[in-house]
Amino acid sequence: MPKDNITNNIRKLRFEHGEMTQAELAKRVGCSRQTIVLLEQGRYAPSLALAFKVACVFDKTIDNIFTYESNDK
Amino acid sequence: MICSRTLVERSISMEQSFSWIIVALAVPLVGMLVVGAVFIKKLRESSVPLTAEERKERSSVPLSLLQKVSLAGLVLGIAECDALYIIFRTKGGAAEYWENDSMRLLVVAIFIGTLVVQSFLIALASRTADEREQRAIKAAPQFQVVGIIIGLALWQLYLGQKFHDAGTVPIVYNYLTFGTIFILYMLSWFTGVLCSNRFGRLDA
Repeated sequence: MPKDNITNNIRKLRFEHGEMTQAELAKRVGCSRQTIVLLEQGRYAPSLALAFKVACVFDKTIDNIFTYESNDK
Repeated sequence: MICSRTLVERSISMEQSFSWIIVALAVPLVGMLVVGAVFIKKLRESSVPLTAEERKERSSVPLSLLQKVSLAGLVLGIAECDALYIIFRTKGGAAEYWENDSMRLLVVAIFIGTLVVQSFLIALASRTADEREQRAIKAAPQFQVVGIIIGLALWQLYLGQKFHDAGTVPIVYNYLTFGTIFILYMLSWFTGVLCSNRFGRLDA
C-alpha cells in the first residue's frame, strides 16, 4: 500500500530566513542533518513534535509549512 | 551378526539424522525467504527512485553520529571475528581452546573487550539518535533475528556432520556456539541500524 505523501516548503523557508543551512536548522530542531535532507525531499513524514519545532523556527503554523496529499482515490 | 546389526542401526540413525538436519535447515531457510520477500516487497512499495539531484544531495551529507557509531561497531565486530579466526587457526582448534588456559583467556578477553566497547557504542547511539534514527534502531532486532537463525542453522549443520558418528558433541561447543551467536547478535544490530537508516522508510 503506497504511503501518503507529506510535502513541505522548508527549503524555500530556509532561504527566506537568511539562507539558513540544513545543519543549522537540524541543530535548532534537535535532529540530524540527514533527517532535514529527507524531510525537504519529502521522503520522511515527521512526528507532530518535530513539525511544531520546525514551524516555531520559521515562526509559522504547521499548515503553512506542511501539505498533506492523500494517495486514496 | 551383532556387527551387521550395529551397521544397520547406524545406517538407520544416519538416515534419520540427515532427514532431521534437512528439516532443521529448511525451517530457518523458509523463514528467511519469507522475511526477505516481505522486506523487499515493502521496500519496493515505499520507495520512489531518487532523482539525480536528490542522490547528489544525500551523498554530500556527512554521516550522522548514529551512522558513524554503527559503522565503528560493525568494523570492530568484523575485526574481532578476524582476530578470533586467526587465533583458532594458529593456536589450535576447539579442543586446544578447552585445554589451553592462555588461549582461552585471550579469546575471552577479546570477546569481553569487544562486547564492552560495542555496548558503549550502542548506548551512545541510542542516546544521540533523533526521532527518525530511533526508528532505525527499533528496526534492528529484525536483522538480529535473521542473524541468529542463520548462525544457529550453520552450527547445527556443522556439529551434526562433524559429530554424527560419535553421537555426542563435546561441551566446549556449547561455549563456542554461545560466543559466536552473541557476536552475530551484535554485528546484525549494527548492520540493521545502518541498513534501516539508509534504505528504510522511517516515517513517524
